[in-house]
Amino acid sequence: MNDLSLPDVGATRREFAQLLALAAAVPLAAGLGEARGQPPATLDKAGGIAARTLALTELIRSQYGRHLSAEQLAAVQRGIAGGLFTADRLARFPLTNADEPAFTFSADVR
Amino acid sequence: MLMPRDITEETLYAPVRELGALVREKQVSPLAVTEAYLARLEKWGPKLGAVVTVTRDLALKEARTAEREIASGHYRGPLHGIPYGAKDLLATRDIPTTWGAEPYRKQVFDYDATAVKKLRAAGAVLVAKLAMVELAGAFGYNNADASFTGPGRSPWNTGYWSGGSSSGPGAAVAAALVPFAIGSETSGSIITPAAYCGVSGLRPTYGRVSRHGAMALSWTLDKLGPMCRTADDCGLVLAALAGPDPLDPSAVAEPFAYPDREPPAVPPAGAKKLKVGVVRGATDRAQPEVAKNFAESLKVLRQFAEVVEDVPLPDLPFGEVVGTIVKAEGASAFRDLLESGKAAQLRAVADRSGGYAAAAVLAVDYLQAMRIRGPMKRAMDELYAKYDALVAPSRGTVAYPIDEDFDRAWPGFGGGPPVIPAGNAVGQPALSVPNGFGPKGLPTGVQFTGRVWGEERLVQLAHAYQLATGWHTKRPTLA
Repeated sequence: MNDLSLPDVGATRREFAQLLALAAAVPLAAGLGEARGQPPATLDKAGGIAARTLALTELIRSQYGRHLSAEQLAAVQRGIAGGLFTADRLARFPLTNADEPAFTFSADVR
Repeated sequence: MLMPRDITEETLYAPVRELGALVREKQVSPLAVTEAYLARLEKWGPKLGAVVTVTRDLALKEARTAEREIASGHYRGPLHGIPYGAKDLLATRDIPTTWGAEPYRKQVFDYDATAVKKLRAAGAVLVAKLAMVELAGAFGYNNADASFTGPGRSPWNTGYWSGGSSSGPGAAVAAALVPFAIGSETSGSIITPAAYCGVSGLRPTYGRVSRHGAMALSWTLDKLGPMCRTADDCGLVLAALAGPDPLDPSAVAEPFAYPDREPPAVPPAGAKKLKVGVVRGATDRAQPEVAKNFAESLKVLRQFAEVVEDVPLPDLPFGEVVGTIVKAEGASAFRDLLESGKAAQLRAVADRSGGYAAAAVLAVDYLQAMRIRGPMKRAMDELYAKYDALVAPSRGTVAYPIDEDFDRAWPGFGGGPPVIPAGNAVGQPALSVPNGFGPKGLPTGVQFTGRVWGEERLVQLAHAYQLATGWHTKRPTLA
């Protein structure tokens, strides 16, 4: 039910592509130790998300790494970087405390 | 006295309304027409990558029941005795429901989806479970070869994709393997294959049709809807599907009425002209043929509607919101698949790892996206309250080649205003109908988008458009 992967869905494809290219240049989460405290300058320029990308990739590697090859983990890292880029854009959207998520909890037991 | 007709190709390409009238008048036997569609499904379905399971035994049983009932004077309505196909994410008792994905190839449920039950109650005959992009595109596929049944192929040119994720429903309707089908959309999965296959596809308002028994990708975005020969048929089928369901709390009792008689071509004399807005930038990045066909469509619309040019969509992050929600809800919906490692069995390379990246979406980011939907809904409703519909090309390009990654298929084209994610983010309906042809003999489409619960108006407009044009009557040459 989802064709978000088609190229003309989403307004920030070019920026996103630039981000992915930068993410590809970042060492894999396996090198987290070396990267810790010194996030790659390229991704920092792209939104300061390098450290978060590495940390979340490490989280996924620790949880699911047994299912993922190095190549797939690199793809996961690019996906995470893209997701964080999107999240940062959404975080800039002005909301008030009264803006509730678009779902409601029901106490009814069905 | 009416005489029974032979089942010809003309019969099989007839709209549901026309076919239904022939069945009602006993000129066409439900059993004979079912057998004819079964033969086409078995002959062309595999070549088009459009079919997962032909439900021959069930179909013949349901067709015999319909025949018996109609003969005894118990006529259920315009879908009685009419065959149809269901995207293979709708649960069907004792028949495999594969979700298009290898890990679920042997999955069998012991119940029917509500949509299947409702169509059975209307007398329709299930002839096939139709192919789809694996898991409805949950994990970011980037080419047409993304289903265990292989790529869905357009009947207009089998070197090109039928669109996704409702690839089978689009191709099967276009090739007259079925007179109508049920597809689903989270963001684009009815509108895209409708455009790429040259059929009419209606994405209903979120909550119009029960999702019970449908594979969940995104609980707050998934919709089921009809894919048919005509907009008028979409109205008929939606009338059978719509309504509340105790098994799906999101399905509500918002009335949807559709006339048993074909609606008029234009608003009655003296009635106010319908007001149609053209989305700003709608053709800015479209292929020249798409832009030309859209301009011709506007000329037709001006015959019976007031057309207002250059209407901007609200400047809001629709794509980002939908993308974040699909990732978070999809990773949750398929968490067992990710945990098991069986995502490695998925067909598309991107799908094998995409779910793991989705699993890293933070809860606060998901909730941020869900909160933004509130102001988004208000902004979109404020805009759409001024119009009966906004129109844009359904897609900026014709279908992609089977053997190319999507982002390399039509360089420089595609994109433009985010009409599809905007409508899906806020749950609004849309209806795509064919409006011409572009490169490689492939069809193009125009989409009518409307206010929440405004499907009737969209069908009315698209029906009037189709009465003034003949694109929906074109047939592909199958070879």
